[in-house]
Amino acid sequence: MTTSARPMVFFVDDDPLSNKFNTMLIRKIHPDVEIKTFTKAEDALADLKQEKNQKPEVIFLDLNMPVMNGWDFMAEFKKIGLDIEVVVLTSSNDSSDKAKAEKNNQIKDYVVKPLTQNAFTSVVKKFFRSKEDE
Amino acid sequence: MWNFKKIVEEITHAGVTEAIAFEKQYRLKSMNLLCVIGILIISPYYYIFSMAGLWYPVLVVFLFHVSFFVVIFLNYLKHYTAGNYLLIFGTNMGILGMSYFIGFDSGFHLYFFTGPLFIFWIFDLNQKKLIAYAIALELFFVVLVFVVKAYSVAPYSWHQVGGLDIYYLNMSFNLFLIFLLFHNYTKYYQLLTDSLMQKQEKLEGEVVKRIKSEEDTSKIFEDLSVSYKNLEQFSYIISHNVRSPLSNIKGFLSIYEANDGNAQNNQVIESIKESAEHLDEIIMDLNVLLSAKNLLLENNRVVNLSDAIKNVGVSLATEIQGSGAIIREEFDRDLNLYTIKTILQSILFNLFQNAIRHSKSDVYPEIIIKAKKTEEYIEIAISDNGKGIDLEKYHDRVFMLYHTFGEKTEGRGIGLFLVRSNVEMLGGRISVESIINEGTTFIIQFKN
Repeated sequence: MTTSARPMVFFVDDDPLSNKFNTMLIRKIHPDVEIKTFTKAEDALADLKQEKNQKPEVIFLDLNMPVMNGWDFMAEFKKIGLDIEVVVLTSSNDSSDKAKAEKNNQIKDYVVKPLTQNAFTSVVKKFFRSKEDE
Repeated sequence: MWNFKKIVEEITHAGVTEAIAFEKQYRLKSMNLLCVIGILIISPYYYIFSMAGLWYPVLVVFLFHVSFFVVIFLNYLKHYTAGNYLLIFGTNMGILGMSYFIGFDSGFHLYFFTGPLFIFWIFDLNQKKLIAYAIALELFFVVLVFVVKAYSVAPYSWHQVGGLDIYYLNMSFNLFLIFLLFHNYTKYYQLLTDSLMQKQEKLEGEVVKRIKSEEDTSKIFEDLSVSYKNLEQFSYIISHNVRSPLSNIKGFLSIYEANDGNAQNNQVIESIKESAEHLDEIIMDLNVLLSAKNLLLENNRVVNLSDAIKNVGVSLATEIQGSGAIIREEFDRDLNLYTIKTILQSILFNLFQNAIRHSKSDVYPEIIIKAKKTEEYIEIAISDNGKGIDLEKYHDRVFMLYHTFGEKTEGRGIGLFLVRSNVEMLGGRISVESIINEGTTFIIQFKN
């Protein structure tokens, strides 16, 4: 993957306020993490397709978005074939969404908004550990 | 002679097919009886004619006798229509023969042979008009008999024989029987027609009603599926669109740091936090309620009650251990229900949780489950030894949304609402009995 010193996370969410909050939260608890936010899933895909761009360790993905929703994004993302963990971060506590997310083996976790320090730490702990293993 | 009450009862209780069969049987019986009467009536004429030395008429009487027997026999063999025609044909031939050999020309004799004949015609044709006509004809002949007797100019051979008195006696009897039969038959026929008509109307009404109810049902079903879709939409909107800004509020509040030392500001923020939490709980609850409807898509299957209780016990393990609660099953280990497992478990879950949460502080909560199964229903009674509910006060509100009882409770008033809604989803009903400070019993009844 990338050799960048600072790990990176993506937030893909059509709600700018949500992105703003997530950025603020992570700045507060993990100032060393690089953050990129996208209000359109298409933009996030385009960014990922650019080879020169640094790839994120985790993508936090909202499900309910206009034009391209979370599931559409997942379908396209699969085609690119990148080994990046995706965590669903959504306001929906709908059981059918949860079940669908569980079936998708590229989705590593399902977090109901708002993101908390604990939830973020437990998610990124995995990738920090995997970093240490390398 | 005829038990009409019984006949009517039988007809009203019988179906249309049975009624028709019954009518046929009735006609058969009537015909047999008439044949017996006919035999009784003609029998004296063996004597009368033989005394007069009229051997041909004796032969004709004999032929009548035989034909009556044949009719009864044919009826016995269930060829009653053939019997009818044979009788009509036979009597006609008889009349012809008599007229030829003896020169009978009086209405007397005609009456004597045509009387029973008419009855058979009537019985065969089932026409009220014909019955009336036959009665009129009989009356006419009766009058004729008396007229002939009073004003007879030429003496008849029967006077000489001295058998006319027997004849009158016989005929009166005959007439009385015929009248009774007519009367009864008309009455019976009317009753039969009425009951058949009623049945038909009822059936037609039933068909119309059923078609209408089917239309209604499909209409209701359409409406329901539309509202259900709306409800799903609503549930979706709540969980996505409404929760979305709320989660932002909660998020921002979680990273807000009050450091300006203003106590009032801190209080404001705390209150907003609390309200946001509360709003989120309500939204989550609504979602649970709405998604519970989706459980209906699951299929019914055989669920062992004891197993279901054990599953719920596992889900509630923390609360059970924390409170030291005991769950006791007081029913047959093999008791099974044919139902939707998830919904049943959700009911038990909420009731158990309720019992633990509303337990008294000085005793360990004890939940006793009793169940019995009859042919019609399955009754499950879940009792606890908790604080109880003041039913006189809360009677109407026990199963309503957002009603809690008692001062300090963890519940938000959603559990029992969910329980009732779940019980109703399974086509059952729930009731509650409670004594304050002794405990509460919830009784659930499902159709078996």
